[in-house]
Amino acid sequence: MKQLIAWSSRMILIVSAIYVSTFGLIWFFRPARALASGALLGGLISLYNIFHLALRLRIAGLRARSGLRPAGLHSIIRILTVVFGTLLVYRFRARIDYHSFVLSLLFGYLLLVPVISFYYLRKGSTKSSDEGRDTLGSDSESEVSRNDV
Amino acid sequence: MSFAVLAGGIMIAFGALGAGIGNGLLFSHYLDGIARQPEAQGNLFGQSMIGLGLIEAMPVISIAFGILVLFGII
Repeated sequence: MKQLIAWSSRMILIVSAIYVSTFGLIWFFRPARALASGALLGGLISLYNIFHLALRLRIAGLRARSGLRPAGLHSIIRILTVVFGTLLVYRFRARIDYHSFVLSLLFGYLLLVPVISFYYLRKGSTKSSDEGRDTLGSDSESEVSRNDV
Repeated sequence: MSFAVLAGGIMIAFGALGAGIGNGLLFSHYLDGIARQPEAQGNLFGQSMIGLGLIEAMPVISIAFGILVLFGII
């Protein structure tokens, strides 16, 4: 599980750095400032949400594993961040585009699917090469048994 | 009461209701799975993460749209 968390958080950080720098450049050079700021706000909120969800899920799993009373997922915090972003969009309506804000709220959640699926695909291909080594191991065991005989 | 307020309230309430039921079911099965087989936590974590992420995307969008409808932006 540590490998999954480390690999997927690294991938998500790389993709989100590309996302933030792209929209940051768009915001900086002023072709569509409102659109870029909406996309930045929504993307960062959704990234916070998925990292928070991963942390809470991991804590709950570890507590259940060690026999302690299971912790909750704390969904209210993630919902309140979305409400906070929406109130910011309402307050600064002229500076933040609500279309790009709402659409970019999906960014982090949809990013999870390819990242974790790619991890399992990669792990599956690595496992098949390891299985070959297992077969070699069983051959050597048969040699041992031959010597015994 | 205008229809926009009603529509916004329904969007937020039903989005949150569906996600609450879905999240509860998935999370309880995740904890069940870990309690039965602790060494499967790695596999369960990834699959539950995808499921929880997809379930939570729905209320997030419905809450954002609902608040914008309530305030009359859309």
